[in-house]
Amino acid sequence: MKNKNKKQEIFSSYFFTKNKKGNLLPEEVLKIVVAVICIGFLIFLLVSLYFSLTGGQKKKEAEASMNLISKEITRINNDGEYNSQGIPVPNPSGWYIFSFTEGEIKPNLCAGENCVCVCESVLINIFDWQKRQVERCDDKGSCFVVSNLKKFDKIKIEKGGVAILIGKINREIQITKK
Amino acid sequence: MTRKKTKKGEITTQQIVLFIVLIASFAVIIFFLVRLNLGKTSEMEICHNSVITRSSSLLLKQVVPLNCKTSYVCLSKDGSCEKMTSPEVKKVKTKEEVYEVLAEEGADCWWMFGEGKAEYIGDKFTSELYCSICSQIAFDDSLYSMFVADLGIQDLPPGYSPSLIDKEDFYKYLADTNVPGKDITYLDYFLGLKNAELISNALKANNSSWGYIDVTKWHFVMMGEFSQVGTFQNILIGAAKGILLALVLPIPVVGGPLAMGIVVSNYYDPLHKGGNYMLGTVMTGESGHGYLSPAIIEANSEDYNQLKCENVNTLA
Repeated sequence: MKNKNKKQEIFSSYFFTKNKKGNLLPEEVLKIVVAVICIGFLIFLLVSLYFSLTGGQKKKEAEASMNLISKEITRINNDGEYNSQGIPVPNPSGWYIFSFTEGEIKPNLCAGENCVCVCESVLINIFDWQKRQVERCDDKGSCFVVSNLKKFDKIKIEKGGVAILIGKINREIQITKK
Repeated sequence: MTRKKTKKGEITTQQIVLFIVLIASFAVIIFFLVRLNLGKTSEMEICHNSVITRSSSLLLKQVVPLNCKTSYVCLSKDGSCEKMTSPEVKKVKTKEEVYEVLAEEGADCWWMFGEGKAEYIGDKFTSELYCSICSQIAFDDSLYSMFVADLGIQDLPPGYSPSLIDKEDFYKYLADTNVPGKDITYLDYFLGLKNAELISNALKANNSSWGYIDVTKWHFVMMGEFSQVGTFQNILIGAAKGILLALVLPIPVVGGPLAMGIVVSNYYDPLHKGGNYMLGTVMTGESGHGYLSPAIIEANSEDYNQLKCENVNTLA
């Protein structure tokens, strides 16, 4: 018992110096704060690394899906046959297909033209969310310019993907969820 | 090398011939390189390597990206394919050649994702099926007539095509044909089964049918992995519900993989008059995880939704 108490004393005096009342001294508080900051920074670093690696994969998926959509739009624009079965967009799950048309703020990737983009949606649709959405698409998304694009509601890419229908009505490209 | 020129600096006939020979040789080499389709081979290698790297990773598996792409294949009798944008067109003349292409796509898919030996998803908190769409197949309309006659479906529901591949016929092909370069049949390679009889019996015992592949529609050649060890066995004994929307019928096997089953539809389809029909097969791989063996599933369909894929691992 005596030995155990002695060990505890040694341990606490080694790490934390206390005054006679048992309160931690400022020096020790500072050590704890620095340690917490360092641990927090390390966690932040690991989380950032994780999301940058997995986020990169999502951007790659978005680019591949956009490539598929753009090819189909080009085909339809060249009077190709309408595909009623739909175009399967497999990923990135949780992201959306957006349209940016006349009279609205557009991503720089669209160079001022109407365009369709695959990007992550901003979390809350308040406080200048359109601008934030455009910035999000510029930063992490993939876009394709379609000058004759008709505005459509954003389409969510579900876990197993989503099927979209691409048609040309009155010389306008219309995209809908199947 | 010294260039022979006439006094006026013109190229001699000998040099012209040399240039022509060089250009012709270059064209021949390019032609053979294109015919070899090395691009596809290297994409398959890249995918396979990324799957193996990920499966042997000590880190979180999500951190190691998979580098696999869906390939777009169009089967055509006359070489034309209007349905798909820039596909790889494969010319086929007979039913067997169609089966051969489908079987090869399945075998490539199974190989790329580790043949049930690689565990590339990692244990998750929830049990889900992670899908990989290896190929998207379109059948050109020049092939439709090839599949009409033999089936004898008298009363097709309205809107349904009569151009159908009987899956029983296709699985017989898989059971009888060897994988190129291997000494085992496709069915043995995918499932460890020597013939299709066990599947047939299990379907019959459960009032289910083989089903058809509608060649007027696009199809996926896909496979998948269940995220938790034991998930698939739980599905088989009915302890894990909601992981798939489809039903799983057990295949009674002695030896071979630990467990095996048939995924059958669980919704009303007029073509099959509401009866269940086979979508694919599932089995326990060497890694201990459950796998959806290479299956041909109609794209953007209720059949695909029935698999309830948690995520698609392949790039479009």
